[in-house]
Amino acid sequence: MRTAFLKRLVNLARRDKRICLVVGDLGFSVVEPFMNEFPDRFLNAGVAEQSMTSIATGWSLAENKTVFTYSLANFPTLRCLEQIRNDCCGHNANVKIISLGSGITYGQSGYSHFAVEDLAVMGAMPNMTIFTPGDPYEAEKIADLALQTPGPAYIRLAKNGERRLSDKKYSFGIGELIEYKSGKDVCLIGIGSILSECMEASRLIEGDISLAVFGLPVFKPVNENLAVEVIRKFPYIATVEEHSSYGGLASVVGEIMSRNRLNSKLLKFALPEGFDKIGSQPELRSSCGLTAGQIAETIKRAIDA
Amino acid sequence: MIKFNNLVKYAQSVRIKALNCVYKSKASHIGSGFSCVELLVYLYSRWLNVSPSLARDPNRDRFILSKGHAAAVYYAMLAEFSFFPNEWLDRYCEIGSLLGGHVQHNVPGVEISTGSLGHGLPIAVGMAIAAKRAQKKYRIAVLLSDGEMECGSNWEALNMASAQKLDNLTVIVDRNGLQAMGFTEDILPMDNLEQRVAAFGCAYKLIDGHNFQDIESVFKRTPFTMGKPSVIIAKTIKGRGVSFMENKLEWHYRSPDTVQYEAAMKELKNI
Repeated sequence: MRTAFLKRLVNLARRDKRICLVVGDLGFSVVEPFMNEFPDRFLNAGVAEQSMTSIATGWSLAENKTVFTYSLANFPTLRCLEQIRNDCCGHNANVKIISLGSGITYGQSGYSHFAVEDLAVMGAMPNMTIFTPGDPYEAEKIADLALQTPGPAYIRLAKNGERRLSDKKYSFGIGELIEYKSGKDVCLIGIGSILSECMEASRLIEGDISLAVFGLPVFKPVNENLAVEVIRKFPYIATVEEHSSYGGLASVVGEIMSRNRLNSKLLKFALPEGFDKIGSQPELRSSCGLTAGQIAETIKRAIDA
Repeated sequence: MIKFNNLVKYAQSVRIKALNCVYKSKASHIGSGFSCVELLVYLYSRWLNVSPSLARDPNRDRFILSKGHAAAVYYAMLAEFSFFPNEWLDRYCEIGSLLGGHVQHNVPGVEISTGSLGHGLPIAVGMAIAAKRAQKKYRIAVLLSDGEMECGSNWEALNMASAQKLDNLTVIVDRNGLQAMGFTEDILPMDNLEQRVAAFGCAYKLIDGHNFQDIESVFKRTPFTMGKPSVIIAKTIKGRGVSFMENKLEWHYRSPDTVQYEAAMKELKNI
């Protein structure tokens, strides 16, 4: 989805002269097309995420630009959190933060490269819109949506090779739940690349349990009315995310259910706090009960119990 | 442009207004404000292309007060130059007032909110890059405290400023020698600050930050070197203008009691 997003960004930049890109010395082999075509709107800020973020803010405010920052995992978010809060959000600047490597995408790189508290932290930032595409199709749509939405944004991308979640073309607005697969027993809501496991889980369990799969490609602000309409139809809700179980999707869904007195049972699939194992992404998912088979099995047990 | 000979009077008026602010509100940082009165008055009266009528002009010069805790003095100066009514100062730090203890951009004349140190210079670098890339002629100035030069983000930004040859950027360091817990030289010595900024690719000048002649002669020469950011290290005195506040750490925090207020006012008015 990274490639799809950046290709779309280059396309948009041809029409929209406001678009600039500032990278934190990362993006080798993917940001070059932008850099070569728009050298005046590109900057490598170096390994200096604090100044990268403030520079993006100053650039945006002085000349009314939409400045995208780009780096990996927690580098463009946690490393420069106060710059995001005070500079980008405090001035409602058009700075769009792209982080590559959502969740445990970089499993073999270890703890330093796990972006698993980012939704909790970025979700608390004022004026911040958060994008969590599930596949390349959504990533491309999100490039447009981020550009149309004023103010700061956080765009959480996985790396490459995610399969399409749906054959259909569809559009989505801010905070809308998207239905990829219908069902009636369990409503499974996922965000990001782990939605592929959700789709597979639904297939594995078919015949036994009717599992609907929904995504939330714009995580914040969530469209609560729409979420309530969906959630109230199901006796079981399951949230699936490559994020800590604190402050991510499970928290958001749980809060909506509580506020709206929805009595469905909530199952949460997330990473344990302080997760620091090493391995490939599939191996690490497996170690936390986040593979399609494990999700299907856990849901089955919960319903049978 | 305001006449050079009137600058001293403006500085005196700004100090009196700022002292009233912190006396009434019991707020802090009067010492930090008093060290940069002349610098601010000079910038807004004779160097920056800004005024209340140019506040939204896309070609105006941009100024950022990175040491946002000097808010009382900055706001007093903005009121002095008619960015908003003087009466607003009467409600400094009160509920419902726009004017708080650290600079906020919803106040007329303020470009950027500050208060956490180490933010203003990197933002100024972003603005200077924006101007260069858009081939605009406006200039960007940022005023920092010397203690603030301990922030790594400033050195990230200077690194970029020289790499991008930002000669439209002027960085002013209010070198009063005191930071929140004591003298800078006792905490993290920076007596060779000018060598450090030179090593980062900046052109620099040292000035007496309370002497308008000195200030003007140096600011007139910016950019000092084509293709390089200009850094002005202004030697100043914390608490300047009130004898018992000068070079005293406690006036980073204290607000004057009635006796101190009256004594200070007497000194300021007798200049």
